[in-house]
Amino acid sequence: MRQPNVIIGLSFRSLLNRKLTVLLTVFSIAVSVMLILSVEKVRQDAKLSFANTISGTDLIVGARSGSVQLLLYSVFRIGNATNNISWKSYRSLISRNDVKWTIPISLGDSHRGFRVMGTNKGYFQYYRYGQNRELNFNQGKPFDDVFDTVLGAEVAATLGYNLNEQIVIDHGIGRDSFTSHKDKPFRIVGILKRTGTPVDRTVHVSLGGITAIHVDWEKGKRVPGMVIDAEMVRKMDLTPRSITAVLIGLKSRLSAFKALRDINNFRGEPLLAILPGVALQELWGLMGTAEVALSVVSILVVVGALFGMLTMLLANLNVRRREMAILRSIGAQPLHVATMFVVEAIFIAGVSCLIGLIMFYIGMLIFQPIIEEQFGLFMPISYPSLSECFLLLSVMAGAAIAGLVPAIMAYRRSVADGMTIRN
Amino acid sequence: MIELSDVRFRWLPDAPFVLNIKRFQIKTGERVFIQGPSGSGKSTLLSILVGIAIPETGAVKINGTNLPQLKSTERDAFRAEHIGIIFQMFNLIPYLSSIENIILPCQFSQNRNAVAIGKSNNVESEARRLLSQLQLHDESTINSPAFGLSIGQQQRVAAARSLIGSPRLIIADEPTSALDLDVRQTFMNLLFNEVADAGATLVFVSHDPNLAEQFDRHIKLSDINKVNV
Repeated sequence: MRQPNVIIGLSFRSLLNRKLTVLLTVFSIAVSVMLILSVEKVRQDAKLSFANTISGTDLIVGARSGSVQLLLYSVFRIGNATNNISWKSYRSLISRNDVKWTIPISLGDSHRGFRVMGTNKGYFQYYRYGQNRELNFNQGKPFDDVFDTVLGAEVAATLGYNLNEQIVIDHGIGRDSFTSHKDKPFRIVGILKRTGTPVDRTVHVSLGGITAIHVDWEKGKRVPGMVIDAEMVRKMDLTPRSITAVLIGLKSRLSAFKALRDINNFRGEPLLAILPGVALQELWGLMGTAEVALSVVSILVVVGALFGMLTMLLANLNVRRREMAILRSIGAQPLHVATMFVVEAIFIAGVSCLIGLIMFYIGMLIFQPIIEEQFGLFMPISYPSLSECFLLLSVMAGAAIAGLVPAIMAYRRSVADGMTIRN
Repeated sequence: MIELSDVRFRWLPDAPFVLNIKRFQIKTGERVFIQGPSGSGKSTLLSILVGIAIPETGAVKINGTNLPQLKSTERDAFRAEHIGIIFQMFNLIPYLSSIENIILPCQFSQNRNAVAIGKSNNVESEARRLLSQLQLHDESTINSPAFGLSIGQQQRVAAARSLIGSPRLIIADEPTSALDLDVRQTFMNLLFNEVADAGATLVFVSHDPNLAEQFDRHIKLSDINKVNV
């Protein structure tokens, strides 16, 4: 029998007859679908990008404090170290048999709001982020001289720097540093490619450079009467007395726990070693509440839109009583009549999902470059993922369930109304 | 054609009965006028005749089929197949055109579809033929959505819908009560012609006894419905 087709056909005709309200409903659901897709996209890509901030590093070692704090200042350039590691301790870390490479880092100064990090050339060789990606140069090369600097992509872009320009490092951190090391300017020798990690916002100099700008300083202040200019500094021994943290790559990952235990029990001074992956998870866990809140809000928006649709369907129920009685009189079953409402709900949701998806992709095309530039968050545009398809299906299922309410009412009424047409 | 025996009906289990018909018969091809004031159970009787309402007791046989014994889906299919219905007003689905309204029953009954095609090659032509019999020729009227039609036009379209595919039984529930006097007479004549052409049985319910004389039989509902006894 052709009834199912007839009923679906009638549903479409009925929808067309109510273009304006249907369009408004479709639009509100489409917007909510776009919203939930966007929120999920940002959430997942942020999580991924977060987990990809650092890779290949087996251990991070710093002075004893909290693991999240160590992760924050050594990887994310957020906050400060409470204490340093002595150069002697660093030497003994390097000499461990299981250590393959180390990247010493020294923090504490800044340049116009961007953190300055002292390190060695090993940084450009061993540092990895994302899926084992190495640092690449957009222009120039690693630092060689004491007063060479390599800029992260965002530093160069934001401040409009080019190769060979001279920059002055401010003492301490914070945008409005009172004092600067203007007697010892640095020359830009390299600019890194964008990574989408805090590396983009870092000014890299050699450890010697950090030592050099502080030779005539003591306890955060210039030593009165002591002036050692840049040329004199070059001739001095610039081995630092201490560094802030060390990134360590091991010969074998399997030895990570043993190394961790050894370093945490180091005799020379209290050290803290952390596994970056574990600390990253711990940190993400702290942000979990915000993440959940974001998801909950977007789910509520979808639910709200579906309630809007339900309201529209219910409002039409009375108007359509006549339609239902006529259909019954020509032999439609109550089930057919009820089906019309579910078909409508599913159709509205389907069109809404499609439009929402299109709006989402258009939004991505427009905002992806902006987000990458402003927040360093790279969001690849790809086909809908499994979880996105699941989201869309959930919206459809929600719509079908919402459609059941007027459908059941229509079913009951079309049975109870009998031959009378109420209007 | 129609055979009611010992039919008792009430809308709710502890409500009083609204119908109590010992015995009532209508012969095939007969045109019957059932008269009763509003509230006398006319609509209820029609609901029972078309199998939308089921009596508590008794048999409702249409063409030998006892409706209360069918499953509800079978009753719906039976109604689609054998019965054409004209309501008092609001007969049409407003967003469909006249033609689309008329051919709806053919989409619920294969037999009526086949009969309509047998008469005019396709259902749309048959709908047009019926409309022209009912003196609706204007193409723009025929093709525009039904809500733009006058009530007189709507009732003629409704009559065409009840007649398409030649169902055996036409049930009309005060189809003229919303019509002006002159339009009313035209409508009645057209309806009679078409029912006669199709050889259908006509059950016509109204409170207005003035219409009764054109029918083969005139029944007062109170004569057969013994609810108060």
